[in-house]
Amino acid sequence: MVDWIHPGIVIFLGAFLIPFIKNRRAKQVYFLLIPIAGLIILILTTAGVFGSIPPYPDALHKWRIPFLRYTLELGRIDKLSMVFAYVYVIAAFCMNWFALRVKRDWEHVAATAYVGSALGAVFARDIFTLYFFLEIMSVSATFLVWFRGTKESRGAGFRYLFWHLFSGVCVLAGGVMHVQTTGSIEFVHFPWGWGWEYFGYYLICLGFVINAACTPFHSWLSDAYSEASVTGAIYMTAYTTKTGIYCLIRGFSGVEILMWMGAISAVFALFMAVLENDGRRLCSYHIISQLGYMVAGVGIGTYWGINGAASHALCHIIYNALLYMGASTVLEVAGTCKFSETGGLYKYMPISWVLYMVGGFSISGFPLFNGFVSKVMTVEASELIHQPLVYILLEGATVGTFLHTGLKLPWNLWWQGRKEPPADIRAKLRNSPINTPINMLIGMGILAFLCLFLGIYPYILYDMLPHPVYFVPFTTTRVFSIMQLFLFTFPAAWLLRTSIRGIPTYTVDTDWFGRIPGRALIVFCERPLMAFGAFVDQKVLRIAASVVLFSRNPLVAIRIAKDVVSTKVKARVARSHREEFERGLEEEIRRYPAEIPRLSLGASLLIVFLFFLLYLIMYLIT
Amino acid sequence: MKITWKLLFNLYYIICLGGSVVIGFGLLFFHMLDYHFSFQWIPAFFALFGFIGCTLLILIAKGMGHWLAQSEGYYEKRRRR
Repeated sequence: MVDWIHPGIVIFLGAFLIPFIKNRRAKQVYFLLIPIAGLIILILTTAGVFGSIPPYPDALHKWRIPFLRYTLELGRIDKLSMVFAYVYVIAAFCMNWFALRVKRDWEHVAATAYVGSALGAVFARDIFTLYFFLEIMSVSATFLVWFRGTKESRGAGFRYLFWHLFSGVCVLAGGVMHVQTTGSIEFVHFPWGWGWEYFGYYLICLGFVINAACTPFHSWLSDAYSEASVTGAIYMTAYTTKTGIYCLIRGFSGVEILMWMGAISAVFALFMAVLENDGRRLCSYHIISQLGYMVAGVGIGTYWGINGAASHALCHIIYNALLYMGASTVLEVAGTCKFSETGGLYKYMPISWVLYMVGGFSISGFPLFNGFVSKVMTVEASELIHQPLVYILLEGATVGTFLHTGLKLPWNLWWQGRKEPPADIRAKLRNSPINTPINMLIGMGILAFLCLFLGIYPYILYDMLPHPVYFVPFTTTRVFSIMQLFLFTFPAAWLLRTSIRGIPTYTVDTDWFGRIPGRALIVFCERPLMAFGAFVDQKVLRIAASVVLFSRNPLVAIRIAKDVVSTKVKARVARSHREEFERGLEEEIRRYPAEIPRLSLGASLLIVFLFFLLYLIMYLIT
Repeated sequence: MKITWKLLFNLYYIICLGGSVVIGFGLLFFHMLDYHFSFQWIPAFFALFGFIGCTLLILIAKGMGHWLAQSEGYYEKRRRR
């Protein structure tokens, strides 16, 4: 049997060949072929060419590498990792179409390496391999932010890197504690409880929660994604956060606090989205909200919850990439996607508007769109475990999602009651309904097709899920309830339409705590703490210098110390001879260290013997 | 009254709203709905939930905006200060 080929490694290594292809057309073809190579490997894996995949949670184990006393395993192939791997490569193919015209080779390299390392993370069986790939993901994604080339993107990139290095350190520290406790490096479902013995697992969970952008650790997402390069942001919508969800499913399913964090996150992000004026930031808040559903599903931890989280992650990658692409096409063509500066674009970009609306209906959870078939599974999981508050929060998030992605964003970007866009944007547009680059429309078109295909025929998705499932999403109750919900959301939004217009403001998020009071910490470190450090440093150096001086001739040094004391006493007693005594002392200090006494061999041996005796006494005592 | 597309759409939408409430009552009456929580059985619960939920969401967010909505380039200005 042929040994397995790791799709992540193929894509990761393939990324670094991109700059060496000189012909532009060949480069574009190669760029599109990289994810297809990954997809072919995954199809062969599912077909059993490398061995049959056992039922979840058992797995097929490949690529074991001895490392120190442990064995690293890069290929844990089970149904959970395959769900994520499939959607990663399919989404990468569509995103590559979207980014096809980008001329910066190294942006392609960063994006492709990011995809490859995300695949590496989902197939990793041990904590160290997982940590390694998570770190590569963080660094490559940081470059995707920096490739925007603006001052804001530089800052956002550094903040993104800081958050993810911190989460990586949490995972590593917790992982080391896990290894110390259990002697195993395997990434398994971790124990959970309250107490210091679980501290390592809290750290790992915190690392994953930061990756999954759960409230209150979500601010990095809206900050970095909205400042990333036009096409780089599309990649970022899919991989980091969904890898976080994958890790939470694997390690912490059934942890109740995650259920509450997820449900609160799903709603909190929507409040922030109401105030948002930037199309990409608004979509970022919807990523956070949808991640809330997944984290809640993980926290619920039942078969429904886990299947709901996994299926929603898959669907979310598809429709959210489509949403982000819609907003990004406006940024690409009009140079801005701020609501206060756009509007009236429907005549000039109708196809991207229609394709965006497919994503908007999907994320809202309209029947026959893919968001519906996965979202109802998580919401139903909260019903089955009798958590009415979680249900209310998740269902309430559906209302807000429709309000923003189905109404606010398309109305503000493409309509706003204007027949023509503002003059400065109009000057950039051709008199044609196709102002969006064709390659971008192809990428969006494939994703829109997938949204509809999975929405109409969800059973192909359900067959992929880790736990066996028989689920019919299109029941009278579900379809009727959700349609009534949407029908009555629209009039409320219409009545309050002036409140959802774009106002040129910046919404301060939880990152304010780090960026404003956090500056006080930096000032404290730079001034009082550094002054204290310099003071301590000076004192320690003086002590060290004294010790060095003393050790040059200890006998004379002791005698000088004794003479200092006796001189002071004598100077007080006989004041008339004071200057004479002090001159004698100065002469003594000047001549220091004078002639260094030489010990005889016997004396040296005696000292050595005394030291040995001292060690012996210490040994006997301890 | 002049018939316009806007008027037709408004009429159509009002019919949809009324129709959904009437259909909801019918489905409840004929026991064709299956809910888990008692509050879901309130007639037109999802209509109320959608309308009130959306209204509250916007109004509460606008209230939050008094503190959270700052001028553009907020952090840049704070840093220069």
